[in-house]
Amino acid sequence: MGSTPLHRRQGGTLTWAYAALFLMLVLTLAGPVGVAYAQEAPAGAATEYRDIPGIGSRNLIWIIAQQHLLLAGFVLGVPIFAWVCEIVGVRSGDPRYDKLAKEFTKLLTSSYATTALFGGILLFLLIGLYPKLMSYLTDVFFPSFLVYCVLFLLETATLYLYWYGWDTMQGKKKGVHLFLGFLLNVFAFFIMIVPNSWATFQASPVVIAEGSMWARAWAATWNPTWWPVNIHRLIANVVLGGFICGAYAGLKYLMASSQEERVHYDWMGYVGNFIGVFGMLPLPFAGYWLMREIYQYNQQMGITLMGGFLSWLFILQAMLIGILFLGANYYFWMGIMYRIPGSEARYRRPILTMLVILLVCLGVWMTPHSLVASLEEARKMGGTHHPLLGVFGVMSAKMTVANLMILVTFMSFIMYWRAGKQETAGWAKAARVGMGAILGIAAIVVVVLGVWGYFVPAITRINYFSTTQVLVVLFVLLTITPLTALVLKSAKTTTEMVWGIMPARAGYALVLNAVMVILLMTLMGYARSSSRVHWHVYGVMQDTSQYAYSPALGYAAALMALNTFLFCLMVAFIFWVASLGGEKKGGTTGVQQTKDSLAPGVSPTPVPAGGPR
Amino acid sequence: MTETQLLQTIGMSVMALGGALLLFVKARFVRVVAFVAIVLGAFALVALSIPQMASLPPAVEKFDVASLKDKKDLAAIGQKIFFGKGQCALCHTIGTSEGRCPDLKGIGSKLTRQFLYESLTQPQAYVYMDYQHVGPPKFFPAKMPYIDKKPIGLNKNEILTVIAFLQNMSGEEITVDPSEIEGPKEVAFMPGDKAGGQKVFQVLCARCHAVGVSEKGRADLLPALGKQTDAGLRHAILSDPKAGSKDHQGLDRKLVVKDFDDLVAYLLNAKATAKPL
Repeated sequence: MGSTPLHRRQGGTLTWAYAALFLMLVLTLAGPVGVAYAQEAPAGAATEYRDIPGIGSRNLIWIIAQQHLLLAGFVLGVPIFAWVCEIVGVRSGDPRYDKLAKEFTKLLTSSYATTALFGGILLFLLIGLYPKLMSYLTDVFFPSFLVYCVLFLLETATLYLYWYGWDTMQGKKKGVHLFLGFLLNVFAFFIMIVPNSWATFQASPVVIAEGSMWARAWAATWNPTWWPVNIHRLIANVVLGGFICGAYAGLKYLMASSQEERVHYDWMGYVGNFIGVFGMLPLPFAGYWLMREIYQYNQQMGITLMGGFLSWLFILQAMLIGILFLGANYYFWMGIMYRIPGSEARYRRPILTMLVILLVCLGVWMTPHSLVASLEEARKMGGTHHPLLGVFGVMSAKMTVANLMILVTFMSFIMYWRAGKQETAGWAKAARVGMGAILGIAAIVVVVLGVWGYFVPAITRINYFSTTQVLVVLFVLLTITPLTALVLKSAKTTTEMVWGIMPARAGYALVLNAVMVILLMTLMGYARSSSRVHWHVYGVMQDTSQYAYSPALGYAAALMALNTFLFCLMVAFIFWVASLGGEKKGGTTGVQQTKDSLAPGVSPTPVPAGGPR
Repeated sequence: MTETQLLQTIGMSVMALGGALLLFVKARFVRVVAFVAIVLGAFALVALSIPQMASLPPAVEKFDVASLKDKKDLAAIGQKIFFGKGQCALCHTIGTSEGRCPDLKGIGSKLTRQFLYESLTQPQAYVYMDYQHVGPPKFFPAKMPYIDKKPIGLNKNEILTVIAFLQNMSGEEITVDPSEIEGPKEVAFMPGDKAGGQKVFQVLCARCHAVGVSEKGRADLLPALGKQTDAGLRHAILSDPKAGSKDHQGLDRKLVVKDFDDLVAYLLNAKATAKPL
C-alpha cells in the first residue's frame, strides 16, 4: 500500500486522536492512582492490597476491566463475520460483501489498539492494587502468560497483513487473503481462551501441588468452567460485534445526508442485525450449559447465582433479553413493512401474533419466583409466592418461554427471508407444509415438556426435559434454515427490495439492540464475578480487602450503566476517527461502493428531504 | 439521603436531561446520545426498584469458652452459623417448604449426633435418601458439600454448635456439652538457640536478672519460670514487667526475632535443667 498524502494525513489525524485519547486516560487515572495507598501491612510483610481513595480500587478495576472486555469482545467477534462476509463475497461474486467485510475490518483495526491499551492499563492496575492475588496467579499461570504474548504478536502481525493487504491481495491472491483471515480468527480464538482460563480458574480452580510449572498451569487452565465460558463468549462476541456494527450503521443512517449513504447504511444495519440475531439464537443454550457446569462444580455457587442474593439479577437479565428479542424482531418487521412495498397487509396479522407471543413470553420470563410484598400482602397471598403468578416464576416456565421466544425470532427471520419472493420449485408446497409441521410440533413439545416439568423432580427436569427442549429448538433451526435456502434458490422475486427508506426509529432500534447487548454483558460479568462471593479464587484465596463483598444490584446497575455509556462514547469516538480518512475528497467510501454495486433487483429509492423520519 | 435514593435521583436526572435533549436538540448524534442515556437511566432505575441486598462475607462467630454457660448458648451460636457462615439455609429449609435439598425439620430427632457429624464432614460416605425410613429413595439435584473444607470450611467447634442447633430446634436434648468446645491452642514458635540466648541474656538482662543464683540486685528468675509456657514467657518478657519498671519498655524494638527466640530457648532450657529445690 503506497503512502499517499491522503494516507499520511489520515495517519497523522489518527495519531493525534489516539494521543488525545491517551492523554484523557492518563488524566483520568493519574489523579486517583497518584493518591493510592497501601493498606496497612505488618513491617516486613508484603503489601496485599492498595486502595484508591474516593473511587475505590475495586470500582476502578471494574470500569477498566469492563471497557477492556467489551472492546476485546468486539475485536474478537468482528473478524469472524468479516471473514465470513469476505467468503460470501468470493463465492457469490457480489462485491458488496467484500466491501462490507473491509468496512468491518476497518472498525476492527481502529479498535484494536484501544483494546490493547486498556489491557495494559488493567494489568498495571491489577499488579498495583491486588499484588498478592496477581503474585499467586502469576505463580500458577506464568507459562500461559508466555503463550499469550506469542499469540498477541501473531494476531497483531496477521491483522496488519489482513488489513493493509486487502487491496493488494485481490484476484488470484484472494485465496492468500482468505487464509490470512482464517489465521486471524484462529489466533483470535486462542487469544480469547487463554485469558478465559485465568478468569474461570478464579471461579472453579483446579490446583495441583506436584508436577512441572507447565503441568500445573495446564491443570489450572482446564478447569470445569473453562470450555463453557469459551463457547459462551465466542458466540457472545459475534452477537456483540454484530449489534455494534448494526448500531454504527444505524447511527450513520440517521446522520446520512444523501440517499446513497442511506442505502448503504440501511443495508449494513440489516447485515449487522442479522449477524446479531444469528448469534443470539444459540446463545441461551451456551448459557444453559455454563450454568449446568457451575452447578456440577459447586452447588452453592450455582444456588448463589440462581436462587441466592443474585436471583433478582436474572429478572433484569430477562428484561434485557426480552427487549433485545423485541428490538431485533421489530427491526425485521419494519424491514418487511418498508423495504418490501405492498407486504403490509399480508404480514400484519402474523407480525401481530408474534408480538403477542413475545410479550406474553417476556411477561412470564420476568415473573419473579418470590414477589416483593408487604407483610399484609404476603399474608393475603399465603406467602411471597403469588397464587397465580407464582406458577410462572419457576425455572420450568422460564425455560419454556425462552425457547418459544427463540422460535418466534427465528420465524421472523424466515418470514423476512421469504418476503417478496414466489417459490417456483414443484416440491415447495410440500416443503412449506413440512416446515410448518416441524415448527408446530416443536412448539407443542416445548410447551408440553415445560408443563410436565412441574410434576417431575428437579433433577429430571434439568437433566432431561430442559435438554430436550433445547435440542428440539436446535433441530428446528438446523432443518428449516437449509430447507428455506433450498426452496428460495429457484424462487422468483415478485417485489423488489428497496433500501434506504426505513424510518428513523429503525436506526434507534439498532442502537437500542447494541445497548441491550452491552448491558447484558456487564450484567452477567457482575454475576460471574459475584458468584465467587468473598473469594479471589473460590475456596483457595480469600478476599481479605475492604471490598470483600458484592454490592447490591442497584449500585452495581448504576456502574453497569456508566460502563455502557463510557463504552458507547468511546466506540463512537473510535469509529469517528476511523471514518475521517474515508470521508476525504477522493477517498473511496463504502457508500459509493454500495451504490456502484447494488445487486440487480435492489434499488435505492429517493427519500424526502430531511432524511428518515 | 441513602445511597439508593442518591442513585435514583441521578438516574431520574439523566433521564430528564435525555428527554430535554430529545425535545429541543435536532442534531442527530446528540439525540442518539440522549436516547442511550434515557435507556441506561431507565435500566438503573428498574434495578434500584427491586430488593437491594449486598452479599457480605460471613461473620466469624467468636468462641469465648468462658462465657459458654449452657447448651442453649451453643445452639444460639449454631443458629447463627447455620444461617451465616455455614450457608446451610442456601439449600435446606426448616419446615417451610421443600427446597433443593432435604427439609431439616426435626432432623435432630431423626439422626444421631454421630450421624449428623458424618453427614456434615463426609456427606458422600453414606447417602441416606431424604432421611426417610419408608418409601422409595428421593433424589435431589444438589449434592451436599464437605462442610469442614473450603469454601465453607467450618471448624470442629462450629460444627458442634450447628449440631446443637439442629437438636435444639427439633425439640431434642442437646448432646453437645460446652466443655467440648476447644479454647485457643498455643501458638507454636520457632525453637531458638540456647547458646545464642545466653549471650542475649548477658547483654540485655543480666544487669537485673540471674538464672539459678540469687545475688544482690539480681533476682533469680528460676522460681518465676516455674509455671511459664513458651507463649506465656514471651508475653511476660514483652509486656508484663514489674510494676513501675521501665526496663522492659521498648524491648520489642531492641530485640530482633531470632535473638528473642534464642533468649526464650535459653530461659526454658534453664527451667528444664534446673535442680529441684
